Amino acid sequence: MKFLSIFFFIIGLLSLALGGSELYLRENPSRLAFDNYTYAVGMPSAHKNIPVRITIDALAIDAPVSPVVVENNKWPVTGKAASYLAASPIPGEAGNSIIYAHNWKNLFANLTNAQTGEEVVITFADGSKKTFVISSTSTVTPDTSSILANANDTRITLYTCTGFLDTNRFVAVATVTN
Amino acid sequence: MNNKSLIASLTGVALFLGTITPAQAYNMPEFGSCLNPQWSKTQENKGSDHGVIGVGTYAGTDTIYESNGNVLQCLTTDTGTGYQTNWLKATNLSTDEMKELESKGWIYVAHGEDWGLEKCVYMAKNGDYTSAATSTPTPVASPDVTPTPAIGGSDSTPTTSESASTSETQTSVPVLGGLAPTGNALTIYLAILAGIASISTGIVLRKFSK
Repeated sequence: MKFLSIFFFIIGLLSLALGGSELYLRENPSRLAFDNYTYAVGMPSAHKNIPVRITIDALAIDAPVSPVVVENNKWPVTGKAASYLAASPIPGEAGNSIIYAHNWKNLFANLTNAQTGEEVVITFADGSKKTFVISSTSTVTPDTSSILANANDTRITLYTCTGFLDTNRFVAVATVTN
Repeated sequence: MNNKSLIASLTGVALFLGTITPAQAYNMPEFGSCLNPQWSKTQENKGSDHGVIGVGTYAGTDTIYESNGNVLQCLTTDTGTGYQTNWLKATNLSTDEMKELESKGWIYVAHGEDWGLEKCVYMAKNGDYTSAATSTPTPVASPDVTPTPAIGGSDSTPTTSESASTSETQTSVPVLGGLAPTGNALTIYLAILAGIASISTGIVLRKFSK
């Protein structure tokens, strides 16, 4: 019985440590200092001028961007950068470019406060920048994959988790400005 | 089996059964989102009294998309807010299925024609959607005039019938079952709850061991 008691204590402490570390990752915006952070999976767009940073001044969002590839229907998600879906167009090219990130304070936590008219600046690997303006927002269920479909305009679709236990997704669509 | 074991077993079975939800007999169409509609655009109406079921009437631009009688209504008000309303054609739904949908927040609409829809039963559900007035998806197909009245807008002026700006075959990304899991709230809560439960169990066992 005593052994079992100790076992449960240890399991309990480990669980609390896990919960605490996840909470720390989510809430601590200063834990990342990686201006030159590079993280890529697959990199089919390596030859292109890929996006490396996303900035939304109105929402105090300033995060690195790394290209990712969905494999076996599994989304790669990193806590160190926003993820640019490499299979989607380069932001600023015709179509629907997809960028998503955790709703952590260092990433897209403030995205859920996005308002139409706010500017999104994408910085590219060559240092150039393109500005987009948020044109629409919505909260959708996680199975609403139609937001990923192509579009005939030039847009970026940004999304992150929201709602009770992060069960929904907040989506902001921004279109390119001249 | 003693009484305590029996009660524990029954409680366990009850909890298990409580988690079971009835099988869904009907096929819920994928309405998608007004952010990037995938259905055929049938109307775009500007007017002063666009109705949003269960909410009210607004001035703004109402864009209608349809598929197999089901309707996606995207309203952008002049004040910059908006509504997405999913209209499910409910002619083939049983009473139980409608009640199940009502329990999930859907609204029963006995007369679709009152809302400019077909003369049949619909179930409707609103969702949040905000759009700048200029962000209505740009049509690409050749337009045809449609006689269908606008949803809830008496002075609305139906304009064109056209394909949505996107099509299902134009997806630029792999077909995915859903969106990325971009939150960890569930992990946090579960880990903390498990931690508290385990430590509590350890305390109880320690007392029994003395």
